[in-house]
Amino acid sequence: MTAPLERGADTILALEDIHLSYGELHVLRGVSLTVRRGEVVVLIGPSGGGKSSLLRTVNVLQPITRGRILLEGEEISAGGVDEDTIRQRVGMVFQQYHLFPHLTVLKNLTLAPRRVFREPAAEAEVRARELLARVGLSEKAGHYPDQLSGGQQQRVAIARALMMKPSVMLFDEVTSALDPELVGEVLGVMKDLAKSGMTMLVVTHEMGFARDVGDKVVLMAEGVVVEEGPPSQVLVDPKSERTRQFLARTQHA
Amino acid sequence: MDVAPFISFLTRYWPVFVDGLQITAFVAVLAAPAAFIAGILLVLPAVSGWKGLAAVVRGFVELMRNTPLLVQIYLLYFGLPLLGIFWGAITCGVIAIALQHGAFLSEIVRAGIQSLSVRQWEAGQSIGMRRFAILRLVILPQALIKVTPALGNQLIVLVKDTSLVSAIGVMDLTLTGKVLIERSGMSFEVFIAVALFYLILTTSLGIAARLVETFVARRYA
Repeated sequence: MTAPLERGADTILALEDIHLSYGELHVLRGVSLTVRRGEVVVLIGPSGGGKSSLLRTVNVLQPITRGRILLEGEEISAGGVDEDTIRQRVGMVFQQYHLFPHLTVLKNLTLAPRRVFREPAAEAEVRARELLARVGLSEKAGHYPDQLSGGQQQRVAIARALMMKPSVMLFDEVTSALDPELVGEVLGVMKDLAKSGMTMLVVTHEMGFARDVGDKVVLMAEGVVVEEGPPSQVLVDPKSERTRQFLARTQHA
Repeated sequence: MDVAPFISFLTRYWPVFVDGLQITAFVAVLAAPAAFIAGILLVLPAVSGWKGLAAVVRGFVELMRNTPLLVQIYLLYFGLPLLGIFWGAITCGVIAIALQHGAFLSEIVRAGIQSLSVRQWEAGQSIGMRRFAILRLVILPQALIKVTPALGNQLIVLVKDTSLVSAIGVMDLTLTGKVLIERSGMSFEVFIAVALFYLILTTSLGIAARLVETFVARRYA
């Protein structure tokens, strides 16, 4: 049932037998997963299979019903942990960006570090401008979110999460709300991030990204891990019938 | 009505009216920020999830909203002395206005907060901000921006409601009018003049509110 827990320094995130129910609805039914430092783990699978719910449990936005979540060896799913402190170490990017519309791009980035780390304004701004340059949006620092395209907003959201220097980044279908021609710029930023050694847990329907960037692909359906392994195996030569079905359907789309 | 006698009446009693206008403006200037602060404080328990306090505040807001302001002013001015508390008329008036308008404002602000997506809270949480910091820096500013028109409206109602302090002897515009009627016997002219002064006050506030609204709309729409 429970995968043996790797306690090596390499393991950033260990999920052990995660269960999650909303009343009668059993969304996660015993998910175990390990993410090592610098690894890009891509979660694929049909909608409603529990991928996004799993990410929300890792960011303690959603308390789990059963199981354990360990972040850098420390259990974060138990009662009494400081959720805010945990979230500082776990960056999350959402499908709908969720930038703060009343603040400029620069302020969106500097708000939390100034608030949470008490980082001086000047230092936070320098870091913010560096990150904006990294996501290719240097010239947009003074703009408001609604003056940006969806792809630009999503890149700002990624930079905002990176401002907290997280140990792991969670991406929840971050390109699903974008026009097709804007998907590439966001995936490009994510690829660069992966190359820079960031540990990432990515929920996506972009099979190309899973294949090219993923170190490990995990197929989830009906609240369980159906199959996991390197992309070359899971995407090309899947062992499970369920994976084969899913891949056949996505290739038709 | 011939205009010339009205003008001469107005010039004759001008300084008296100005005194009254100053008192009205003074009461409004004290009551409006106090009401705004009360409105924010009254909304905090409900959105911070302090259940017990929220229920108490809920009851207080209902009480304030559902009893006449004049009665509340009387209650403070004539009731408190029975408890050995002697506050001046202006103090009682300002507190009563601030509390009742605070109650209404808290409902307006609450509506603004509830109109925001719960994802804004999550976005703040996901970058490690504490609940109160999210409320103060992310949620409240956006909510206030959304309800700017309603806030401007409420401010105008507040200025007009200051006329009720005349009932406990504060020499504001309204009471000045009543006194002038006794002095001059020109009841019609007096209250046209009083209405005009209120109109000037509220209209300029209305224009100011509209300007703020346009600015906010252009900046944050």
